[in-house]
Amino acid sequence: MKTLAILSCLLGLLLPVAALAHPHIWISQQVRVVGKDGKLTHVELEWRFDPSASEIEIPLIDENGDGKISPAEAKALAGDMMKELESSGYMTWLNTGDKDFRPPKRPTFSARIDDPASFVPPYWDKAAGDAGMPMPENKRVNEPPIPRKRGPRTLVYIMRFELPKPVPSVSIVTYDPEDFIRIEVDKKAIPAGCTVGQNPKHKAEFVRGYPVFAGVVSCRSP
Amino acid sequence: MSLTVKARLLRSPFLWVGVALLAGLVGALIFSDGLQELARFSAEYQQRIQRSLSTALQDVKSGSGSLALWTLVIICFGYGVVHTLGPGHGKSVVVAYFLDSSRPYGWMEGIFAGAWIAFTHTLAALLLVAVLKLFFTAGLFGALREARNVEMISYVMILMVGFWRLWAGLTGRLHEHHHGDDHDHHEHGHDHAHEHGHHHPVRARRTLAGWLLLTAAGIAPCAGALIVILLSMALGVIWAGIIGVVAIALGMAVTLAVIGLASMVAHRLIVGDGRSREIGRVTAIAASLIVIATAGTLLMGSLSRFILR
Repeated sequence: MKTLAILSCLLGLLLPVAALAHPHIWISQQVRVVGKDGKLTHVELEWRFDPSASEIEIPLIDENGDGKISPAEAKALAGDMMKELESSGYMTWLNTGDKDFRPPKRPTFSARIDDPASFVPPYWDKAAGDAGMPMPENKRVNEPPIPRKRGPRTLVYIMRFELPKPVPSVSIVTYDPEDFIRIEVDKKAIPAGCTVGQNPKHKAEFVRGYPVFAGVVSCRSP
Repeated sequence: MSLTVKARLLRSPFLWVGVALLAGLVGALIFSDGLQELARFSAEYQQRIQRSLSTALQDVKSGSGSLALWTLVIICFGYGVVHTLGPGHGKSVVVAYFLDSSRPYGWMEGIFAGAWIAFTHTLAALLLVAVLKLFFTAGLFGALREARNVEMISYVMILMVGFWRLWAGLTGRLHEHHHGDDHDHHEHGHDHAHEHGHHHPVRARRTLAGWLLLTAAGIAPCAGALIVILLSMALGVIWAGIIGVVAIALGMAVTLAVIGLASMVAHRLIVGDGRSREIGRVTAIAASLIVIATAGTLLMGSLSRFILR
């Protein structure tokens, strides 16, 4: 009995292990569609990386360090990045009616650096309280008076995918099934004619029963 | 005060902790929101820590003196502690290492086992970045992808060692245990003197299995260390990054050593309790099952990204 108790105590220590898998990169995704003659022809994804990921990536991309991505730098990045993302299907599923499919062709790719940052995850703001309630004035963390050269910046990738054929409607979902990279649809930037919802099929699930659902954006041509 | 009384005193808190944990688990399963909250919290925590890390590193870069460096060290140490308690498989392996044993381990071994995982785990991250830097571009996507690939190798290795130990446990190939001093094991609970000097091939194999297990768990590069080192490289203060990584390793080592020592005490109590080979064998089998279950679950999670392609 005691053996059992001790063993269960040890097992208890181990069980929450998998439930705590968590993301290391955050991406705020904006989805846009491009139409022609009443049908949709292209899907455009805009990824805004969190400040930490941006800070790691920007020096690698912006080789001359001028804070902008020149055409030559963009080309080099496109070569690296598209190869990298292609192997994971751009983490994106498209659906034009019957079956989900990966983007069939490499997208037109462009990138830019937003300075100051255009995407700051909610918990990055020290002055922000929990659940959208602001911290009272006297409880706010005052930033130490260190002369900072610059604030956070945002790296932005824009990928424009061509659909196999013009369609009246399309739904787009982007997510990492391992939840190493958390991609969330920016709900403030849903274009006209599109809605965001959930499909239980698209989720990161480490422990059965505790899924993280991905936002599915469904668009139809006006 | 005799050791028997001491052991009895020691045993009861364990029982209560066990019961409390079981109750907590059942509760967590019933009120499933709890675990979801926990996952949400850990994601949120990761954001906060990544924010503090990049601020600290930027402050180090802008040359604000030792304050920023100490901030960095403290954040990294804390990250090491939390990272060990949170996701990953290091814990289960350390626990298993101490359950799959018949001789009593020394305290130092508990500390070494923890330190070894922490050391290999962070060193793997440094090596991965070095290799990527030398031969490819050390981008975040590439580094994390490679980290995940190496992680899978680690899971497979852990699984293999786990199955090996399970087989050994089931076929009873591991117990050369008490050398006939079964009758008074209690009294010798904290005494190593009765360990026989000559080498058993079985024991050598068991020690090998233990170290294999620890190393297998260690070779998965630590994602946190990876991010610290990549960030410091991006900001051009790689030395600060290395100090940070050492602090992470220290935090992990301390936490793992505590867990290792706790499981060692638990193992002694179990074996002392049963005073028989059978119990020792049960703990060995339980150890291999823990390892197989943990590594198996993690491997399945990793494999899903290939299946879903």
